[in-house]
Amino acid sequence: MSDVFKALADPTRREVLQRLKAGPMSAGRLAEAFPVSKPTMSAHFAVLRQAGLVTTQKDGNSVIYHLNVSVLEEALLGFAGVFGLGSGAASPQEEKS
Amino acid sequence: MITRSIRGSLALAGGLILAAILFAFAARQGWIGEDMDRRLVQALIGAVLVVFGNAVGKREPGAEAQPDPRPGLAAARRFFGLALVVGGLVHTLSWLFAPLEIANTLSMAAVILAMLAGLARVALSLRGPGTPAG
Repeated sequence: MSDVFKALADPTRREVLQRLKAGPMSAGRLAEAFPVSKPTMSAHFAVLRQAGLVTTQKDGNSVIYHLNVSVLEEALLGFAGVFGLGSGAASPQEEKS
Repeated sequence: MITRSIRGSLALAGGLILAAILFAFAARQGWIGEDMDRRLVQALIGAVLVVFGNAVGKREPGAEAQPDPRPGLAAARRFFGLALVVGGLVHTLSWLFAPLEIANTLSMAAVILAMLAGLARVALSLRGPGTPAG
């Protein structure tokens, strides 16, 4: 459970999870939305995978991420977003412009 | 995960039966109120529904994701889980706090409504066009 809290403490990772609510997305498409380097994004994905909040599916050369949350984890995600836990993470590019 | 293995589920069922026997014994001994055994067993049943509902949208740890046959099916599963959790919570709370005359009706209505809402959401997601292969 501490892995889940660690994963949800970062706004970038929360934003990734929010985007995955709309449906599965490739790692590249998710990374494009954030103004951070690919290694940083990979680290975020690794934390989410380790917490079990996302599952992956290989599709050729790309990796598709699927949201994999329980009701409690989704509620925690909502709470963390409302109360703005964590700080200093990158915001999505479209929000920046 | 207890919600994903037959052995775990059987252990949970055994635990429920054991709890029911213990509560009935406690009521007969006068350790708890005469209606409290029924209330506690029903509250436990609601709690089990909450536990299982919580896990509906979650895949087994380590399992690789499979492509969803329909768009929105994963979201519908998560909604189904949420509906079951809410239904289970209402079931538990009504048996713990509502007068006995209405606790049964209230809890059953909550669970049935939760099931119907969840199934309707899943059915709606299945009516959409299938995901193209690839």
